[in-house]
Amino acid sequence: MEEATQYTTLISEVIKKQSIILGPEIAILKARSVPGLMVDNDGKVTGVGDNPQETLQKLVDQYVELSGQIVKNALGSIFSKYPNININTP
Amino acid sequence: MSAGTLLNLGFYISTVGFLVATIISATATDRFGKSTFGAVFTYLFIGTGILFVCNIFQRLGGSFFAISDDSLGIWYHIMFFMSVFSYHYGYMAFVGLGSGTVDGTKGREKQWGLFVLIFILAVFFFAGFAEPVLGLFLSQPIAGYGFLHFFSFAFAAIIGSHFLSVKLNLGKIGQAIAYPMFLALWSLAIIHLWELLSIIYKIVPVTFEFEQGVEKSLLIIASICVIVAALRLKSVART
Repeated sequence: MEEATQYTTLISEVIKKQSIILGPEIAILKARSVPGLMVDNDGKVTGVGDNPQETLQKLVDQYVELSGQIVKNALGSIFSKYPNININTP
Repeated sequence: MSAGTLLNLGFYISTVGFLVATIISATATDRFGKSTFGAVFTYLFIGTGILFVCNIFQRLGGSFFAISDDSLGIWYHIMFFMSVFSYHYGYMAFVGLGSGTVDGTKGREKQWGLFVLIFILAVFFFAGFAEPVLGLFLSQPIAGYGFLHFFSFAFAAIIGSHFLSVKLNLGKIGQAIAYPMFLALWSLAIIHLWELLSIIYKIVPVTFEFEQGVEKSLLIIASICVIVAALRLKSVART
């Protein structure tokens, strides 16, 4: 449960950061396209699915596909706060 | 259809093209809302809007503004530089985001937009007041060497070439605009190179109608390319 909460908080932060960069409409649209990820209209995560790690990776992949290196730069500071969570950013 | 009619048609098509490009750029930028990308693409919208205004300005002619045709050419080129500068600022902000050296535009796109608006209004209403100064410059031998055309060509070509780099490492958004903006800016660059070769140095001896026909054709190509860039941006933002 604690792990799910951690992922929920992390993913919410990621969406919030992407909302600043891409705009809330696009950031939330991309987030909602990730299977298992539930996001309300304010960008707050309400569900991360059965495999939060996979959900997070797919979300990051969505944003990387859209804006490439910009995502990596933007999310670095967020991921540094969660050292036990590994994510691949190509 | 006479050459004059064709040229008129070319003007209307290119002008409508840039108007449509400006509108679609605005809607594409609007998709990103109040965001960093929204600010970056505002520069592209401003650059495109200036090109639309340039078309109108040139068509109205010197007598409308109570200035000589040569002075009209100078103001036209100054506004053209501003358009390319706008594309350049947008490109730099975009690439800066990718390299992590820029963390947003800090509202500078609004300041730029305001400056552009005030400048264009000043040109439209007060260009005549600068006529004595421009007349002095135009009376000098150096004015006949075509430096404005050369710098316009070089500037647009360099900035256009830079846009190819956004194809790398900047995701689908970068890929959406890279080639169309490269082609748009190079079409605009070639207009000025063409003017250098046909009007200034007369290396390519052609009639006025032919010269203008080539210009209008390149303007139409440029406007279509910007429309394509904006439509692709909208499409990427939607999916």
